[in-house]
Amino acid sequence: MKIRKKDIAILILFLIIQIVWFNQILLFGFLQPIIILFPVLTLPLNTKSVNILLAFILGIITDTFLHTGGVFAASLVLIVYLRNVYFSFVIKQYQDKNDFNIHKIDFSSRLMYYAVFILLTYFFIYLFESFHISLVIKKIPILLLNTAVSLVLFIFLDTFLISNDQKR
Amino acid sequence: MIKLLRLLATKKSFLLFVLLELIAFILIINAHDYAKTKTHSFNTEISGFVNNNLNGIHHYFELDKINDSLQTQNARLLTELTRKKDQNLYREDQLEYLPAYVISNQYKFDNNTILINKGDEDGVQPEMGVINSNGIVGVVQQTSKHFAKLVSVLNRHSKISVSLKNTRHTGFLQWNHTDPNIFSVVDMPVNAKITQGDTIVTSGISNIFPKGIPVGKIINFEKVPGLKSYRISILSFTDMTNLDAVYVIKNKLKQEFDSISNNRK
Repeated sequence: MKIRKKDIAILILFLIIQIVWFNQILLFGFLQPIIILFPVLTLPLNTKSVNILLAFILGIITDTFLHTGGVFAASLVLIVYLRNVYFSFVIKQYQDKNDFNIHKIDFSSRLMYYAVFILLTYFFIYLFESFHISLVIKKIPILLLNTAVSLVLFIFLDTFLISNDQKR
Repeated sequence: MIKLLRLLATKKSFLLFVLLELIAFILIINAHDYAKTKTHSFNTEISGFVNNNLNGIHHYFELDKINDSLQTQNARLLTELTRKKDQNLYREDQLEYLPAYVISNQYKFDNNTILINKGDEDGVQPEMGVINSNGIVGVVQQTSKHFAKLVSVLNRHSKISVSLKNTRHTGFLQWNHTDPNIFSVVDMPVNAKITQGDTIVTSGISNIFPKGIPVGKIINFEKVPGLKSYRISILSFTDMTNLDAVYVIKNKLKQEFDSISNNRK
């Protein structure tokens, strides 16, 4: 399975939404959903190098607008690399990466996959931003709340984008 | 060597991952050391340009909130200014300006009234003067819990004491019922030196409006036959057809002043 033009269009659209909207808001003073992660998590598995490169580009653009150096780039590249590992060990039935499609995973496994990777992304972002594990530990409640809010958003996006795609 | 190249080819995604992570970490480290970052100013320029435009859009949608905040700040500054400027005329904390918005404004009738969005609960009481940033607007006639009705200066019952800016000669401001921006000042003594273009301000005599609030500019004047006074036409500084943010003037000593004033009669 290759990266389609549609996937690239969705990546660009989500990047714009992240920069224009989500980077500007801070819900309740501390919540900032990372919507850019959603299209990254739904990329095909067999295009490893392209995925890594795309994640880096998306991350570096987000970093430019948030003045965070390379925090998002480092986190997203790591996430893209780790998702392959995740699918190799956790969801073994999808080891045939050429046939991998996010649509084929049942909803509960998909939910778990989103939750784990949203949590990891926030963890990496906080860690790479401060390089102090003690500061990340202090932020655990915020990390969990951000994960929960992003997960709700991802479920919403999954229902509209993935499910509609699956119907076709 | 060939084996090594083959190995590298099979691990190209891993190598790319390591390379990009390395670049990202260099950027993170450099971001903490601004002096060394050559890309920093370029990035700042791009993000500054986009964020500036985004802020413009954001500000546009936040204009109502910004207006409210400026209105409150203006009221506070007006209170402060009056206190500093008229230290000999008014006691400290005697005058307070309460910000409000006009929610209904009549100007097509003879007895026009205005509704504002502040009432009893906000400290608005009958007989308080109301101004805007240009000049006088009206006087509070009655209040409910959250709203107040004003007698507009465009009302035949409105009679406000005014004076020439440069002298203490006083008269009364009345509306001439034709143009919402043209008013008359009557009972101005003939010994007052008047020239066209002079400014008329509130006299401060009634204690509804403090002394010196701009009212309008003299455009015409004539002696009233048989009376020793002038009839002056003035062009109002306030556009009474376009009212929005206003300030209610709370004179905390007005009751005391009125009571001593009534006893004197």
